Amino acid sequence: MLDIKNLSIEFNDLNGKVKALRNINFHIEQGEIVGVVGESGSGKSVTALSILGLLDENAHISNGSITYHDQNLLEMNPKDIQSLRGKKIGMVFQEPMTALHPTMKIGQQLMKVIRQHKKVNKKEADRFAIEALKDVHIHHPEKVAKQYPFELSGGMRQRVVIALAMSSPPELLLADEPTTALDVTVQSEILNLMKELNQKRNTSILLITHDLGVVSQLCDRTIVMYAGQIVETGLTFDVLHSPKHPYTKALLNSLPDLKKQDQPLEAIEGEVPDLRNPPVGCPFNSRCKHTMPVCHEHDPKLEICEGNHYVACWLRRDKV
Amino acid sequence: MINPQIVTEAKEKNTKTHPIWFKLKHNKMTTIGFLVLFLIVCLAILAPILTPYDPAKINVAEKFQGPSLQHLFGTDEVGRDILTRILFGARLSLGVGLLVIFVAACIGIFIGAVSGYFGGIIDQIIMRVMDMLLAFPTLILAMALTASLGPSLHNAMMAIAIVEIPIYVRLARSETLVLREKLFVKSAVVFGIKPIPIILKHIIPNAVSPVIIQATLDVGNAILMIATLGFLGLGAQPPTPEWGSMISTGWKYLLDYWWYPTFPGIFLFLTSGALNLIGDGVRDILDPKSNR
Amino acid sequence: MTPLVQINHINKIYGNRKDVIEAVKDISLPVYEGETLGLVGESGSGKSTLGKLLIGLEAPTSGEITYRDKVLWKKKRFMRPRPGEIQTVFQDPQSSLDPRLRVKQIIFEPLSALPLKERKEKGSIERLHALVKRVGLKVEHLDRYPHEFSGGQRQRIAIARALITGPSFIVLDEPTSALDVSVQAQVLNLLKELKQENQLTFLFISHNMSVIRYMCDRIAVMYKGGLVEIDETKNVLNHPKHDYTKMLLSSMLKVN
Ligand SMILES: Nc1ncnc2c1ncn2[C@@H]1O[C@H](COP(=O)(O)OP(=O)(O)OP(=O)(O)O)[C@@H](O)[C@H]1O
Ligand SMILES: Nc1ncnc2c1ncn2[C@@H]1O[C@H](COP(=O)(O)OP(=O)(O)OP(=O)(O)O)[C@@H](O)[C@H]1O
Ligand SMILES: [Mg+2]
Ligand SMILES: [Mg+2]
Repeated sequence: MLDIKNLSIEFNDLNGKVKALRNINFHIEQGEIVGVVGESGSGKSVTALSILGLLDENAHISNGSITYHDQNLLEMNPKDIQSLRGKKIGMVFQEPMTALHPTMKIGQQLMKVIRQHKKVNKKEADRFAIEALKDVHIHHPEKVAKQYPFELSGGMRQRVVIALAMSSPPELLLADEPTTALDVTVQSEILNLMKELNQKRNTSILLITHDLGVVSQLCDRTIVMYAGQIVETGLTFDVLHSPKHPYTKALLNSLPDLKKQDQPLEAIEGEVPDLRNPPVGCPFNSRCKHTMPVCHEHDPKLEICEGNHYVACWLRRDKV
Repeated sequence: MINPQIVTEAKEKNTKTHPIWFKLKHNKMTTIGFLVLFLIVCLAILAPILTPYDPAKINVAEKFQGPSLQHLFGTDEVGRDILTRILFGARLSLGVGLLVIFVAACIGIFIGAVSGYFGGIIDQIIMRVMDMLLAFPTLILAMALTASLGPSLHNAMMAIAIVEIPIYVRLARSETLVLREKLFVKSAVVFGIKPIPIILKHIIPNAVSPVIIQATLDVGNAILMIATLGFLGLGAQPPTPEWGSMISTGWKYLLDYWWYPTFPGIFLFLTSGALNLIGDGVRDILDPKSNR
Repeated sequence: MTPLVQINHINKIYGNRKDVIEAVKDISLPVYEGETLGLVGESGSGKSTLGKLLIGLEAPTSGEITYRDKVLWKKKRFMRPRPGEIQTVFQDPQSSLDPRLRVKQIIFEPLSALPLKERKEKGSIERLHALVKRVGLKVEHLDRYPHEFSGGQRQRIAIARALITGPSFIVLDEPTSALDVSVQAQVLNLLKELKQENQLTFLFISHNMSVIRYMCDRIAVMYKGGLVEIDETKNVLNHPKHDYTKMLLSSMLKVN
């Protein structure tokens, strides 16, 4: 349904070009839930925003295509994208405050959206709005509808954004860290809601998150990104249980889940490379425990290692 | 589903404004506005070099001469070179326009920030007063104020500044309402920093971009208003070379000496037109809804 | 152990007569010197509000909070113990740093509320450089603007800013929930070390049970504005008493 090929995106800023995405390839099929995890700044949000044409002004798509139902989104005119965005593709933004109008009441914002999609009068729209807030498990939805975004707790804001996105179910939902500000009980409710949407309406979901638990619960396939590239992808079970890329392994190790209180967590040493001048060779080479000379010379390609499991690492290459 | 309009609106509200200047470059009309304004500014700055005449020196022998090589735009009823007076008038109009708006914006942004930051009774009183001022058409209010203060350029400037202030108060206040909920402002409160330093250090610097944009829009208006007040005899007094009063005097001689009011009129039109083009371009980008 | 902060029957009600929201309902609890008290609870249950009462951003509707036996709120006035004594780190590293200031100005900002002598003492360049290095930033970062940093780095800047005044009590409102796990690990380790080095007391608000378990000595659980459970970490985790706590623990997602 959605097919992204060789996508590369750069940002021009005052200090040079930020190569935010480099040669990204992936696809989402109808009814599939795909998870994207990865280091902060690795380009997860940029990927989602590029699908909707909502990138910042200074973005430049230097290469690639995004095909949605045989249409190249990158060549479509802004009006058509606008209507796609309204009807077929929905998005939950990472930063709830950017998606909410700061000086408009929650109820009004919901009604405005609802009335764009359904021909209903004010009263009915109001009812739908309250209904939508209930769906995302907000207590006292009538009260909340009369509040402004800044009066809500972080988690409530995030749920309002989800309610906005779900108020007319899309064909493809892009969810950028939809549950990060939520406690686990609400999180599991929201995840159930998304699962329901997926099963009942066959909605495809691109779920960006840094919570590996969420990925393992919800996603069919998982994509691991690092420094603007996909370093590993495969069925969620395979990626989380037999990770092949050293970065994925390190990521799993840094979870506080299994640690005792008195041991420090295993953080990954070092910093993400500067995307203005990405390092030669593998982007993970400065933090990797298994570097070989080749890692500093050539960038490994994403290659199949078994079944549907792809990884971009020279280590694999040697063993295969 | 996410409403794209709300998202863009909210994005505008939440992101920094530097892409605005970036977008401006792509707007043709705005570019024309910039070019015209640039030309007029150059003429105004270089006025003493460009013309050999004195804008105030009376030379009755040469009165009412038509456009010629000596006097490109002719001379007036006491023989002063009209082009010279227009160029010096440009200095005055642009200078006064900029100064008035600068003062109005500075005062307005401060009042607006205070009003929005403190809220409550202070806010209500300030906003009531501003609404009152805004209820009158600006020009009429400015005329009434100047008339009661006494006709002079200073008083006209003061009056225009006063009628322009409410616009900036409103703008700054609405920015402040958003900013005061930002965590960096909350953090400053937690550190024990007092409200006025917070306003000066955090609120105003972050609210300033839209105010600057509004100001470019208003300079043209201010110049027109100064000219109108001058035309009505309420602004600059003779012999100051001021476009409005030149047009007003020249008006009487229009039928016999057409060049007298026409050339100052053209310059007034070009200047305020250029400023409005720039302002419009800026506004279209700032507020996508108002695409008329 | 002596309580550093004592909260007694605190209520916080938002809104006017018609639409009242009881964000915090009759909460009493001590925070002991040197401990990390974890505050968990449903989203919207009043955790952040409770934190705001402690750092002076919101006044309680009723009840009393004492800090080192001194009352924190007299009527609607916050009686700041000593400027910089109580500090905070917020969740959202995007909006907690002023985009128009350089990192150096940001870190030094809390000092401007201090008396001149203390400001000079604490605002020395050596101290700044040491602090910046301690939180894992570089000295050359000091002249940059916040937008040039990643989420994790910004949170380090916020932590340095909180430490510059030499505080004893820090309220951390979900300091790592906007960060990805590997960066979260770095920041949590850093916080733990800093707490040891500087004998700090933390109120650590989070909804992530595994983070809470890793960081906290005691856990307080809030539900719909009220305090439903407070005990040592291992007791809460192993023998949860309240239904909500049980639900919280059972819905923890594992990477299984
Ligand atoms: N408008 C912009 N100008 C310059 N650089 C940008 C811009 N937007 C994003 N970037 C850069 O692009 C890279 C990818 O950013 P992105 O927001 O996609 O990261 P992410 O993977 O979503 O991270 P996080 O987990 O923190 O949300 C970052 O290095 C970021 O600094
Ligand atoms: N300024 C305000 N005006 C009105 N109501 C408010 C305000 N701030 C918070 N509230 C309300 O108080 C309640 C508690 O909010 P709070 O932010 O403390 O929740 P929280 O426990 O921190 O939740 P989260 O985990 O989602 O951050 C919510 O119902 C919220 O709507
Ligand atoms: Mg992101
Ligand atoms: Mg909160």
